[in-house]
Amino acid sequence: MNERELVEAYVPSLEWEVGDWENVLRRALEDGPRHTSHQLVRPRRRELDRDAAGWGTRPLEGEAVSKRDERKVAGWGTRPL
Amino acid sequence: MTDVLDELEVLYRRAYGRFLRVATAVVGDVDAARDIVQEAFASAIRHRHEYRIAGPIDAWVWRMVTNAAIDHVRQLRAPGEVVDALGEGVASSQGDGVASADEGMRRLVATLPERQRHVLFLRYYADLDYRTIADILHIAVGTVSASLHAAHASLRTALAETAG
Repeated sequence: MNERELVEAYVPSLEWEVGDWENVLRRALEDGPRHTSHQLVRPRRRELDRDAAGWGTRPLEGEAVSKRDERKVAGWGTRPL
Repeated sequence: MTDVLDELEVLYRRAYGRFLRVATAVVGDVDAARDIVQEAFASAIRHRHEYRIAGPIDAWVWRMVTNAAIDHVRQLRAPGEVVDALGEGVASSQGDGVASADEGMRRLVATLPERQRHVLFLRYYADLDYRTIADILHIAVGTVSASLHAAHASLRTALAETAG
């Protein structure tokens, strides 16, 4: 037996074990901070509001979603002034 | 954000056995290791917004699992207890004949300094490179190399004495 075989034998392979992903998700929801659980199962408030208003979650046409877009919407183009 | 969740699931399904093996080696208890791996992944899900794309997600999760296992040992066990629990835990979880490392062989590994053992486990059970191991254990790459070398030398000496 060489060193590698010795280490390999210290804990024999556990590749045959299958983890329970659903249980991991449950734990993440049950034990996590309230705000994180909220984020995991519900869309962000802004998206929620849009959904409720029937707008869907994609930005409306012409709606600025970033500084770059704000400039575009305002007709400034995207190059620095 | 969903992408990170997907990546975590893929990693979990692909490498669960390896995470479990490393955690088991560190804590010396398969049941505790299962709990540690599950909780580490649950924690990764809860903190997934903190994950930065710059580094591989594997390394990030390996760090969480390894740290959780090391913390578990430091809180709950005296150092000498790990190998005793490992003998019972691995044997009972794997059935007859599978725990091929007898107690004497396990003790050879268990007598190594903690850092050397952790480097060995991450190198051989997780197949991680030196850089990733260094990041996980918060040590220099050179220290990983030196720890591995020292561990090999100790084991070689112990094996020679056992054979002689």
